[in-house]
Amino acid sequence: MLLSSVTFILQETLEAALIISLLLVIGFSCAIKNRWLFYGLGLGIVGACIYAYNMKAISECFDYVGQELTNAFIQISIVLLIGSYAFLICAFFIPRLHGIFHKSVDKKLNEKLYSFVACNIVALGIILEGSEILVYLNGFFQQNEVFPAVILGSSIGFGLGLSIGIILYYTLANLPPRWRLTIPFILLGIFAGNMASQAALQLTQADWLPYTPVLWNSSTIISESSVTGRLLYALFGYEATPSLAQALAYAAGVTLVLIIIYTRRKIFCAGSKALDLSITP
Amino acid sequence: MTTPVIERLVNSRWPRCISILGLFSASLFAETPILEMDIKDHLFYPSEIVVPADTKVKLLIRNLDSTPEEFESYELNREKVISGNSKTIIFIGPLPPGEYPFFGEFYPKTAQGRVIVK
Repeated sequence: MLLSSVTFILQETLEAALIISLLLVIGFSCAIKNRWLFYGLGLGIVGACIYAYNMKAISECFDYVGQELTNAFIQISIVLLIGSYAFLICAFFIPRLHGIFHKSVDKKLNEKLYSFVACNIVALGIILEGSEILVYLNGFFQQNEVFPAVILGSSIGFGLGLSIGIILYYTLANLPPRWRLTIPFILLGIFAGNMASQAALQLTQADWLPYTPVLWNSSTIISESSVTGRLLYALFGYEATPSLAQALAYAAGVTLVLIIIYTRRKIFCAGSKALDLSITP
Repeated sequence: MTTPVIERLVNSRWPRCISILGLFSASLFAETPILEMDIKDHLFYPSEIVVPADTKVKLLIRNLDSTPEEFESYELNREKVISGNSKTIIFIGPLPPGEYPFFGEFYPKTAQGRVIVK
C-alpha cells in the first residue's frame, strides 16, 4: 500500500509542481511579483475540495460522463489560459525588460491581468490533480489498518513531487540568461500540449469525440506502467499508444504557444538579450 | 380498371427504399453494446470481459464498495474515478483483437483484470 501511495501521489503532485515552477521562473525572469501564487493555491485547494466532495454527482451528469466532460473543460481552459499567459508575457512584460513601455497600456491593468491568468492556471491545475488526491485519501480515511501506511506513502510522494518542482525551479532559474525565457516557454508549450492531449482522451472516453486509430505502440521501449513511463507522462504527457486525436491535440497545444513566441520573436530575442546584459555589467 | 392505391404502393420501389433507409439508420443509431462489471472488496467481477473486435462498447461499472476506485488501463488509454456505492460508464473501442489489462489504481495489488478482444 505504501509504494502504490507514493507513486500515485507523486504522479498527481508532479503536474501541479511542474506548472507552478514554470510560471514562477518566467515571472522571476520578467521581474513580476509572485503574489498571485497564494491566491492560486487557495482557490485551487477550495476548488479541489468542492470537486472531490461532489465527484459522485458530477460523474452521474450527462449520462454518466460528467467527470470526463468536467476534466476536459478544465484542461481546455488551462490550454487557453496558457496561450493568454504567453501572449501577456510576450506583449507587455518582455518589452518592459528592455525598457519599452506602451504608453497606451495601463501598467497596473496588465499586472492584474497577469495575476488573474497565472492564478487561474495554478488553481485549475490543483483542482484537476488535488480532487483525485482528496478522493483517494478520503477512501482510506475510514480504514484504520491501512490509513497510516497510506498517509506515510502520500507524504513521501507529495514531498518527492514538491522536491522535483523545487529542483526544476532552481535549475531553470540558474540557466544562462539567454535561455532563461526560451526553455521555460518550450516546457510551457509542452505542458499545453499535454493538457490538450488529455482533454482529447477524456472526450473520446466520454464518446463526445469519435474514435481515432492508435498511431504507434512504444510500450516495449518505455512502458507507461514503468517509473520512467509515469515520470515522462507527468512531465511531457508521454503515451505509449497515443490516438490520432490525442496527437493532433498535443500538436495544437504546443503550436499555440510556439506561434505566440514566433509572432513576437524579435521582442522575445531582445528580452533574452536584455536578461543577458542585466547579469553582465 | 385502375389498380387500388395500396396495391400500387406495395408493388412500387418505395417499400424497398424505406427498408434500406431503415436498415441504414438502424446501423447509424444502433445502441452501443453494454458490458457490465462490478467492483466488490477491491476486486473486479468478472475480471475478464470478452469484447467483439472492431466494436465500440459501453462498459458499465458498479462500485459496490463504500470506498472509491480508479479504473485505469494504459493499454486501453482509459482512466476514471468511480466513487463508492456508485456506477459509471466508460466507452471503449473499437479495438483490434488482443488482450488489454486494466487495474484499480487505488488498490492495484488486488483490483486487476483484462479486456479480451476477439
